[in-house]
Amino acid sequence: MAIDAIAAKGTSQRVAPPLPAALFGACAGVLCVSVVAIVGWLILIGVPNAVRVFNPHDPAGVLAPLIATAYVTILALPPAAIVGVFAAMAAADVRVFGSVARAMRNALTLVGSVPTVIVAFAALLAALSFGWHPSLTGAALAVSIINMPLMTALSLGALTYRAAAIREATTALGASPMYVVVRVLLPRAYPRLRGALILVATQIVGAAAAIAIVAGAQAPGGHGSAPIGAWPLAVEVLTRGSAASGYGATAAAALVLTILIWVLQGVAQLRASAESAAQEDR
Amino acid sequence: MPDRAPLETKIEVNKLAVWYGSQQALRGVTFDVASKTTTALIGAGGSGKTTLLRALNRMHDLNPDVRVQGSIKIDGAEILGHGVDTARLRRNVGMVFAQATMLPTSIGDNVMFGLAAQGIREERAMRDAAEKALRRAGLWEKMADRLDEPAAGLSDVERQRVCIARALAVDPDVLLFDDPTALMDPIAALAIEDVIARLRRDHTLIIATNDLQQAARLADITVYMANGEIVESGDTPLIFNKPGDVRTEAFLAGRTP
Repeated sequence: MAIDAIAAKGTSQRVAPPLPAALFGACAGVLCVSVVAIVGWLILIGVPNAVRVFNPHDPAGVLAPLIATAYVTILALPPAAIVGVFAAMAAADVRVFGSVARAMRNALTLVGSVPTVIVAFAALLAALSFGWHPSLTGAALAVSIINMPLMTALSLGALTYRAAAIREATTALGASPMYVVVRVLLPRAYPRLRGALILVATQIVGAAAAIAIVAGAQAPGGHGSAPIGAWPLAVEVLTRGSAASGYGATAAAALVLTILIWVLQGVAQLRASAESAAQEDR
Repeated sequence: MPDRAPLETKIEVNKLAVWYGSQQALRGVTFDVASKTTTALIGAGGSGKTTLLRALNRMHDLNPDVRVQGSIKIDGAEILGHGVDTARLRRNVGMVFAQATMLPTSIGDNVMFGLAAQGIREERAMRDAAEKALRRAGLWEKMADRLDEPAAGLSDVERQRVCIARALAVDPDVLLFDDPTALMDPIAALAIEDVIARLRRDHTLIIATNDLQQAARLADITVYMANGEIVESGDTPLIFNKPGDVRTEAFLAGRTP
């Protein structure tokens, strides 16, 4: 009897109050319905046009924009990765670069909060002031710069993930701060850094549209100086979206872009969870 | 307690004060540690034992919010202030923590880490030092054929022994133990105590512990701390049997001082 009473009490304590539970449930429902509706709409409108967008001779095709996407990603990712990882290494231990590292951590928050279009506009102005022609290549540089804070933040997270005890143990053995960062924390962070790289690539592929348009706006021929002569796929979706005649093809292109990003994010998440499981075991 | 010949002073702590931000954790701590003796720091949680221990090899440098004032001399040389080679200091004053953290690598690489961090690259010299350290930690017989295995698979007591071997491999004069058996069952704790007891002849040991029996078993000198100050210190049997301060007496009796 007493046990029943305790069990009943325990059960009643676990049940969430009805009003917040309803509110959270409604929010989750709105989110799910929105995502399903958007993707459903893309499939409904886009799938009938799939044959068209994969036709290399069709002006609404996605192959050239996909190659342009790869072009921008290949140009933008390495500088973002190199600057991001090195900045994170400097910020990972305040003893390596002292006040510089502290300032960098603060700057990271500030720089990361600057609207992307403003960075793109600054890149455009910089290109013009140097007498360069704005182009898809210039746009890639702007895309790279705007993703540097994200890469730095993700790399910093990878380097310092559960690292306090390891830093303490290695420091107590007479290892210098730089040795700890370079020889211990960095190799340990490789799997997470690979995940970070994929996530930044996802950003470049999916969120590059506004930046690419602004930074490469005045490119000769309207499509920049990329050898492909096309905008990245995200830009195509954005620009075609306003043309009423191309809604079906735009939906198909958007579907291709969505699937591409989901694949990249899926790979990044699978890698991250596999690594988390491995580190839990350790 | 038989009369002892005067021992050479290894560590001199003078008016040591430590702040975590605005909160003062140590208040004018002054005490000496003789060479090749074992000192136990006892006291309630938050009394300053770990803070004092971490000041002795400048582990507080890891936390930019910590401020340290006063003087600590080891073998007559001041270790606080600028211009001190902290890496060299920490090789001379090793530390073993309550949590036995393994580096995500092999058992051998864990033991040889301090040597590699010194820049030693000669495989033979490193293996010899690792063997010597593992023997002293009572692990060589068990680990001789397992040096290339991941350290992740070791039991808690084996991990802590590897941590002790890792600290011994760089040949320190002083070893600091921060509650090394806090996370262990009594049998595992006794195994670690055996290892510590074997090191007493060759090293100056300082152990911060919450286990009063462990302090009584291992230490030549016991220091009782409360509220960031040393209340009383002296020969261990004297402190445990005839404490000179009512606060020490109350703490040992399990009463609130």
